[in-house]
Amino acid sequence: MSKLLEIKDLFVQYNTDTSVVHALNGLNITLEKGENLGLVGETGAGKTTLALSILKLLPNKVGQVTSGSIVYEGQDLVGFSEGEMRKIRGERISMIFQDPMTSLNPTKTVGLQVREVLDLHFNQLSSAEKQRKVDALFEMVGIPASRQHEYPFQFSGGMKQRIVIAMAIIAQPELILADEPTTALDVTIQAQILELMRRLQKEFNTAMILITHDLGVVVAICSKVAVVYSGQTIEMGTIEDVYSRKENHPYTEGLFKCIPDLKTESERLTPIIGSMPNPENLPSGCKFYDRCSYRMDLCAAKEPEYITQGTHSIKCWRFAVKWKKAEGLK
Amino acid sequence: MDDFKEHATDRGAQSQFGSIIFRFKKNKLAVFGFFFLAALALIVLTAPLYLDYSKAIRQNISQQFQSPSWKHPFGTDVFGRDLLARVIYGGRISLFAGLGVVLCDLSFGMLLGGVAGYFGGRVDQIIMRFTDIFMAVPSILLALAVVTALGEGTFNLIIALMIATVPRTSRIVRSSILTLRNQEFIEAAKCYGTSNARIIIKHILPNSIGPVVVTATLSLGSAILNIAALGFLGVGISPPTPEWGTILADNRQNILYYPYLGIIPGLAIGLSVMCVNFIGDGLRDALDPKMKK
Repeated sequence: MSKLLEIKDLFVQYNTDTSVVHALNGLNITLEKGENLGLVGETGAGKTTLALSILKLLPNKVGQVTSGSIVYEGQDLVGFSEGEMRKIRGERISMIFQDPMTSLNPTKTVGLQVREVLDLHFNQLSSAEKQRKVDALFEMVGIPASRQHEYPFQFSGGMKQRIVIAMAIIAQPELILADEPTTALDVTIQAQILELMRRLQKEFNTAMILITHDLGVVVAICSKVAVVYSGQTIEMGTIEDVYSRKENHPYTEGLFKCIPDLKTESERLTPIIGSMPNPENLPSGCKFYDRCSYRMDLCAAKEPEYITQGTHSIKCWRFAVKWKKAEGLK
Repeated sequence: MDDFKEHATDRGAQSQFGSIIFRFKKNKLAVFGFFFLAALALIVLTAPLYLDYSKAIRQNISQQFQSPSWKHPFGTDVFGRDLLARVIYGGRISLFAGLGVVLCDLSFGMLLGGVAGYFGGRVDQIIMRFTDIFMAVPSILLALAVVTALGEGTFNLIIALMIATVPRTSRIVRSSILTLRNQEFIEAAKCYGTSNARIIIKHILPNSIGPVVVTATLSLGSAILNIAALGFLGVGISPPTPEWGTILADNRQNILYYPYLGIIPGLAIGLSVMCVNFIGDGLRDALDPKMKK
């Protein structure tokens, strides 16, 4: 497999009139072709900022990539111009939004909206060919092609999300960024949409970054997972690495503890005490220090290393010490 | 099931334009307004074919103040000019100069308001400060000043009235675009690689067409009235050229004794402005896909 996307030490900040918000603080991600990566983290961890940074759609003059690289198929997107990005957006990287209710234009029929992506990137196709593609795709996402002449308000939320997915996939991009695609939907529809995404993704061999805060969704369709905390990747590995719960970052451990267990009866869930550090004023050491139950003096003083063992990477001093020792013994 | 499918494809075959027409037709008042205005425009446009222009301006004092009759269906004014001929020829200026003003107003207003609202920041600041300056002066005074500077004539009149109304239109367009700009579907369009120009034309303008159409119809009414006002003040359209507003103004002193002199040009103005508003209402509903029944 070859690398499709490699994000290294990405720093993004939002400059407002009164303060500087550090949204991403050294984020690392690697993604192979055709692979599914789940990006997990709580609200404000920088998940959406990451998606916008990849597409270079950070708010003008406010959002700013200060350092790091986004290497997509060997090219660093950070230095790309707006015109060059426009060719990439939709055609090679596309995005699925959180709320299907607002991500379709209410004054245009859904068929035209799906077709517009073809008009933008494959204008050399004949009109009939485009139409055939649109028809085929509607059937593929499970909406009768005869309904493409209807307007968004005539569809339910789940159907709209199917249409949005059709728009994202019609140009057959190599990478889809799905920003909480199922959050606005109820659980049964969620399952259908996830199934649809998994099927299409296999069929088109598209890679996907699934942004979510639902660990259950990740395990349903991803082969790899990255946990983001305070704008940093604190843990990344295959599903087996992370979900086996043998070696986890303390934060990931806390996340798993939050999931109610079906076998044991308990009155309350176990939360992670405290909240994320203020992105305007970050601590200098480990960002999770205040909430960590394993904290050491070293953690407050120095930012942990991001250390990799096989396919599993963790940014925590405990593992840095442990894994290095293991390596030394070999 | 088969029935359903047939129905669905039937509807599918209907183009977007076709469905707009279909919805417009449902509004009887709008259809009436459209045909009335169309008939009026036809009468007024083809006037030189059946009516001599001299009839509208040649004075004949011996024929003054004739009540409506077969010879003079609308009667005659203080100079003995046939009122029907004057109203017909006056409509050429009132209707088409009014239309011209609105078209210029809309194209510049949408351009300026669209650019200001969509790009925001410094561009927005510059354009909006200019509109502030223009809006600080009452529009009729501004138009008066411009038409005085440019000289008389229909074309200059259109320019003057356009300058006076563009600031308001661009503000309305800008505000409706500001609410649209941050909608997720605009961001989605950017994600699919849509260019700025295409986003404005294909996604923002169709969504802001409602307020714009309403503005346009209202400003067609006020344009007709403004042309009349300027004519009354002695600039813009100069006598003896007929124009609905000037006809009304010319006959002002005699309206009390010969009411038809006021009623008929007044009706011409009132009816056409009303029809324009009917059409505007109908268009607004027709352009809104949610009204599709």
